Amino acid sequence: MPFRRLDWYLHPTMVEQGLRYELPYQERLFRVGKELGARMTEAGHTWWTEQVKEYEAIPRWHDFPGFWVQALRDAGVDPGDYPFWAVSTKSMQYSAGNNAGIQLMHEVAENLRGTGRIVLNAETARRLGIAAGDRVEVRSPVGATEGRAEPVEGIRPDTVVIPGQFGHWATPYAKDLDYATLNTVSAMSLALTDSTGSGADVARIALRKVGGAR
Amino acid sequence: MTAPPRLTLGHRPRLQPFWDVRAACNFIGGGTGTGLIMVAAGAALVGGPWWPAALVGFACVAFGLGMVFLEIGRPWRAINVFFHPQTSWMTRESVLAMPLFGLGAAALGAGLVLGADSGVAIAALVLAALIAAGFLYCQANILRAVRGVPAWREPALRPAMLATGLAEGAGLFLVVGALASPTPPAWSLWLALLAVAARGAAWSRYHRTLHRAGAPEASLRVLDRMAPWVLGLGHGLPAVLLAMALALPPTMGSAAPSVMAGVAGLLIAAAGWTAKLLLMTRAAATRGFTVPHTPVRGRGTSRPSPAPPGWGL
Amino acid sequence: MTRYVMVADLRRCVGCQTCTAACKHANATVPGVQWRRVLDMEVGQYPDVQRLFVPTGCQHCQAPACVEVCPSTATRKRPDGVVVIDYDICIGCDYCALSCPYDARYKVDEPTWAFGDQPTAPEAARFDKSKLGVTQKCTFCVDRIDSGLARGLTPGVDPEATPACVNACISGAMTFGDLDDPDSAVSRLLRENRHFRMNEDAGTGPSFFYLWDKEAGP
Repeated sequence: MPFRRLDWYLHPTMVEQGLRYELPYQERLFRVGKELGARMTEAGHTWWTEQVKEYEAIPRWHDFPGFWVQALRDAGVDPGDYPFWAVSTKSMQYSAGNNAGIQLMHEVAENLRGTGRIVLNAETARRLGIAAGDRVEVRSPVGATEGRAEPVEGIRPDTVVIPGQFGHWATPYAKDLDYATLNTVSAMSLALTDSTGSGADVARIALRKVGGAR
Repeated sequence: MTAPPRLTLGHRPRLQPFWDVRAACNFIGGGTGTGLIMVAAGAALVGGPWWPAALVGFACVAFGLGMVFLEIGRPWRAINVFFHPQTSWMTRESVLAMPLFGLGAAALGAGLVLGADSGVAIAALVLAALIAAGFLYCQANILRAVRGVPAWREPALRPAMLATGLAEGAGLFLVVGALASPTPPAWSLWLALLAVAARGAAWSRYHRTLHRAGAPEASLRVLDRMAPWVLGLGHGLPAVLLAMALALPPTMGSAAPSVMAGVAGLLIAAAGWTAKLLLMTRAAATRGFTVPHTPVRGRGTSRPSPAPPGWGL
Repeated sequence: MTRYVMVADLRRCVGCQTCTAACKHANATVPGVQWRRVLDMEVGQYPDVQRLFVPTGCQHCQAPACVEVCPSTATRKRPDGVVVIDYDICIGCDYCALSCPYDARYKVDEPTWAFGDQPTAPEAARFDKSKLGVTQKCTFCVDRIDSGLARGLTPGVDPEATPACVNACISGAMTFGDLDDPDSAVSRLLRENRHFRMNEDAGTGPSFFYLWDKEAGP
C-alpha cells in the first residue's frame, strides 16, 4: 500500500487533527510556578518573587555573574575590590568529606595537587608575588579564610579553587589539617539563592599573600 | 622558596631526605683525613715532622666513618657493608678502610716507639697514603654513582672532590704545623697554594658544567649562593696569606708566617667542609619526573614536558 | 624466560589513587610510605594545558641503580625481573634510595602510626619490626606472584597472583604480565600502542611502560 514519505513524520497529522505539541515537563513547571507565585502572594510572602520567575517553560539567559556583582554593590562595596571568583571542589578521595578522619584517605589525596591548598593561576600568582606554599588570605565582605597557595596553569586567571568542605570539624584529626574553606567567604543571601533553594559554591573574593612558605 | 613538606612527594625535584649531616661528615672527615695522611707521608719522605699530622688524619677518617655508623638504620649489621665489592663503591671504600687503619696503627705505633725517622713507620705511612688515595677515590665515586641527585651525578664533581680532599689535607697540615712550629716549611706552603689553586679550578669547572648541563633549580641556587664565599674566603684569601707567608723572610721573628699559614690552612679546610656540607644537605635536589609524551585524549594532541619541572640551566 | 613488567595506560589513569590505597592496604605500609603512587602532572601554559596522571613506584629496572650501589647485596634482581630487598641483610645506609632515579624507596626508622603515638588495632596486628631501619619499596607483590605460581595461576591474568594495585585500578589503566610471553596482555598492549619509559636517560632500563597513543597503521 502506498505510504507517502511525508507521513513518516508526525507533523502533518498534528496539523490535520488540530493538535499542539506538548512539553509536559516545561508546561508543568510553568503551571506550578504560577500557582506557587499566587499562593505565596496570598500568604503575604514577597521575598521569593525573583526566584519564582525561574519557573519558566523555556529557560532564558541570566547574567549569572551579574548576580554576584550586584550583591557586592548591594553590600556597599566596590566589586573591583573583590576581583576573583572562588569556587570549591572535592578530592576524588572525598578526603574532606566523609573520609575526613581517615589518615589513609588524607595521605593519598595529598598526591593530587590542590588538596588542602588554595589553587590559583600561575601567572596571577606571579603577578601577586605569591609562590607555591605561601600563606594567602581569601577575603570576601562576609569573612576570610587562609591557606597555602598552589599555583597551577590549568585554571582561569580570575578564579581560585578551594577544595574542601564546610570547615566544621568534629574529629580531632580533621581539625588539625588547617585547610581553608569556601564556606567562610560565601554569603548566605537570598539574592544569591536560586529557585531550588540552592546557593552556588561561588564567591567574589580578594586575594593577598599573608605569609611565606615556612 | 619551597612549599612546606607534604606527606607525599610529587613529581618535582625535592631535597633528598636520606643523607644528613652525618653522611656529609663521612665525606668531610674522609676527604680531609686522607688528604692529610697523604701530605703527612710526603712530609715524612722529606724528613719533616709527620706524626701529629698523621694522627689527626687518621682521626678524621675514623670520625667520618663513625658518623656513618651512627646514621645507618641497622648499625649492628654494619659488617654487611663488605658484601658487594663487585659494583658498590661503598663496599670498596669500606674494604680499603681496613688496611688503611691497619697501616695507620703500624705507622703511628712504630713512629711512637721507634721514633719519627723510623723506616718502618715511614714505609707504613707511605703505604697507608696510597690506600688513602684509593679511599678518597672511592668516596668521590660514591657520589658519582648516585643517579637520583643530578648535582652529585655530574662527572665534574669527582675531580672537585679529589682536589678538595687534597687541599683540605694540605690546609690542615699547615694548621697542625702552625701549632708545632713558628716556621712552616716552604714546601708545605707551596703545596697548599697549588692545592687550593687546583681545587678552585676544579670547583669552578664543576659549577659551570652543572649550569651548562642543567640541574634542579634548588641545587643551582645553593651552589650560586655559596660560590663567592667558597671562592673568596676559601681560595682567594688563603692564597694571599700563603703568598705573604712565602714572601716573608724566615728571620722576621715571631710566629707571623706560621699564623698566616695556619689561618690560610683553616680557611682552605673550612671552605671544603662547608661546600661538602651544603652540597650534601642543601644542594642535593632529586631529579623529579618528566614524560616525553602526554597521553592522547579528547583533543587528540600530545606534547612532551618541555623540560624537567623545577630544573634550571 | 620470564620478565614481569607493568604497563600503565596514561589515557585511562584518572589519578584516583585507588592503586595507592590498595597497595598501602595490601602491604601494610606506614603513613608516608607509598610503594605505589600516582603523580599529578601538568604540561603547558594557560589556556593550553594538559593534565595527566602517572602511576609510578619501583620500576624494577633491568640494570637497577639500586642493585649496583647496594653494599650488602640486600637488594637484588630475581631472574623473573622483580627487584627485591632482603630486609634481614639490609644495613639501612640509604645509598640505594639516593641512587634511584624514580624516588621509589623509603626508610622508616621508628614505628609510625596513623593517629598520634598509639597504633590502631589493625596497625598493631600488622606491625613488622623487620622493616624498621631498612629500605622498602614496591615488590610487584612478589608474595602474591609466588604463591599464585605455586598454585598454577598466571600473574597478570589471575587476580590472586597479580599485584594489588593492578587488581584495584578502577579504569583498567594498569596491566601486569610477562613481556617474554608474546601472547600476554602486556605484550599485546605494547605492540598495539605507542609507549615510553620515564627518565630513560638515567640508563637503568625500567620495566614500567606508559601507553600514550594508539599505534598508527594497520
